[in-house]
Amino acid sequence: MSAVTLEQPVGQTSSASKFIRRAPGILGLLFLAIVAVVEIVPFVFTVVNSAKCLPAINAAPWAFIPSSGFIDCRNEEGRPLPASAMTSGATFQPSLEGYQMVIARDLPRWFMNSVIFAAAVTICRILIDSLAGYSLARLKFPGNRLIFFIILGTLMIPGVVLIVPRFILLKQLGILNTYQGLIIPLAADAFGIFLMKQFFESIPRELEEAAEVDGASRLTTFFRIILPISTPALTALTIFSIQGMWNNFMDALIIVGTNPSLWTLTLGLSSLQGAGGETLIWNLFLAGAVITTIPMAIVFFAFQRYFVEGVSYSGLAGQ
Amino acid sequence: MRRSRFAVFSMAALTALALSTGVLAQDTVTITLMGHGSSTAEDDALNASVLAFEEANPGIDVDVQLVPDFDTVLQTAFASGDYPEVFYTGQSLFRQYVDAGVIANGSGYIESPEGFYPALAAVYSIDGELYCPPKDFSNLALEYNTDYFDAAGLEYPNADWTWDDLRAAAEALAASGTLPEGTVPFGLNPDIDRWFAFYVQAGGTFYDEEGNFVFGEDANHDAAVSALDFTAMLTQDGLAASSSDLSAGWPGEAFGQGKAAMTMEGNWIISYLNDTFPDVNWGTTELPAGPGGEGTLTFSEAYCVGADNEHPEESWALVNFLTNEAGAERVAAEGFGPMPSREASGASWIEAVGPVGEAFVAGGAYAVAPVTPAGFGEFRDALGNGVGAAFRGEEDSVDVIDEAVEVSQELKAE
Repeated sequence: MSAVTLEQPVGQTSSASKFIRRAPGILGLLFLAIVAVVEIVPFVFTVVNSAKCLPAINAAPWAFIPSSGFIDCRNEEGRPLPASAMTSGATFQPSLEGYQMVIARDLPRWFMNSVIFAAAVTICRILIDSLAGYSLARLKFPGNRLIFFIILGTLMIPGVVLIVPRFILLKQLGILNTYQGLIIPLAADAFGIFLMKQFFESIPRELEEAAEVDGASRLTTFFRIILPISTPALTALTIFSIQGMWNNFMDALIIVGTNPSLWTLTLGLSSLQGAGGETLIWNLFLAGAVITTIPMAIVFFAFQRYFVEGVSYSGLAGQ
Repeated sequence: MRRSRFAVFSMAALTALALSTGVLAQDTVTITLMGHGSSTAEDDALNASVLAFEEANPGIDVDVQLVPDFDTVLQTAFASGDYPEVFYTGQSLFRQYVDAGVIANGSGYIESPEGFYPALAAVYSIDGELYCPPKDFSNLALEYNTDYFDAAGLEYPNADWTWDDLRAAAEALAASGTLPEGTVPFGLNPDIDRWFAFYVQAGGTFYDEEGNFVFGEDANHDAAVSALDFTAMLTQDGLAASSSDLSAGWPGEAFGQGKAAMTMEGNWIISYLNDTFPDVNWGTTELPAGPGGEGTLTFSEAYCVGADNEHPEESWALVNFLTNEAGAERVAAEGFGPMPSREASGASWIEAVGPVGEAFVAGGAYAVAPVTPAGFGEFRDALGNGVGAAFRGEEDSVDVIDEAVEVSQELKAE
């Protein structure tokens, strides 16, 4: 009966009712298109303006069509060329000045430091978080639950509160302004331990019992049996860690901020804001921003599927 | 057994870690100078000065740390109790840092303090004692587009101008019909760090002799109202517009893009216009005088010596080297944006930057720092919003000033 009533409007299809049925979908697409434009346009203009001379950025920030051939931003006397010589309408003359300047300002070193920092912290986290998570999930020892709640409790403490105590502790240990000072405090994190513990608890115990019967020790079981089947959780952990450390500013600032040879990309980028004295050199700054963004964009596109899985798995949209 | 071996191993690892960066015994004293980075040329000049200091003082090593997000790094160091021997301090943070007890009193240590601009020295003094020698500073001046004045057949602005001359020139520019479509005579933001200049020109003061903040109170009330009336009328009559109304990031950009024939910005506009708008023809002069006489605003930084400091002698030696007459001359000769803090070096700086620098140096004689007391953010917000509302004609000048004074008095009572 009810099926018949539902069929009836379909039988008398008019173009208006067709439109009404499709409207939600069309509206949804329209909404998504607007969101996509809002997200993509700033990125496009970052890239486009990073390849302009300074006068062109100020005179025509919206010009987005490059004409062929790169130009020098200054004439033979070293005076900047006027904007009228490098833009017209929506087209502009591209220049590599911003990229040349940013590379001259030690960007390769910042890049290397960011890679070392993100990679070292991520490797440490994979190892320590999974071992800790496994211990809390499977080993019976006194205070097991208490330790877990303390670890979980640290998630509730806002990061800024820890800045000064962490600074003092690292200073006492004498490892301020060193790689180890930057890596050790971040080598394990409560979120990662929690993520791994929850995952390990979902693995059937029978697997481990079977390994035990075959004479495998706890560690062998962990490394040979448990870790290989934990890739979904490990991938999520890796992605969150790389992303978090690549964009980390505050820890890096407090720990290695006073030693330029250890600056990461985020610190270097921040230092570029003052590079022109009281003038913000936009092409330099935007070139730095583009180079900082590219590796993350590559990681994202390469691991896109895992990103989504990671988010749905952890129930969190990043950490 | 296994457990204890692990304990021994981890102890050994920690010890090794601590030793790996241990400080070796040294004969020389190392002091740290912390600040924010500036342009490459400025950073290089500072490093060269420090190198010259180290050569002249073989027993002292200076570790120059130019850090991003400097205020955060410095305040973290303050909180840890272990902070640099010498550090930059901006005028708005000076009193806060003195109250926190982290800045040493420089009176008796600072070389020839009488050579600094009196207004600058006053910013970093408490009860007549100079705590930190000013490093360098910038003043507001009037910038004008010479092409627009030529086209309208008008005389360029000059140092004898008053508010009436500014208004008359703005009206003449607007009436001449020579300004491009969408260009206003004057680029002016409802920003209190610009608007306070008119307040000072109207005779207003910020502090009384006891050091109490007295904006808009008693005799200052009329000054504040007349300054707001004058600026609000310019805007409402279409003679002035803010940078956002002109689709620019700040008035200097609007001026460079040719959307304003005049504006009032500080030293920073010199290199900005030269690098970004090389084809704009412009000049500078002092800000016009108001009913209370001449007035401009100054923005500065100082070198401060840390109060908790194992090497005060060496720290003062460094600071004096950087800010004494010879130090000021070195800053001047490089011709960076900010000016040296000593009056005697003004001429050398003008020589380095060219004639546009004259107006900025001239302002040093009567400039005032627009510093509000620590914790007065609410006052700044209230006044800033009020000035904006008055510019748009939404609020009466008297009401805006009364409201701001009320907020200021509440904050002082706390």
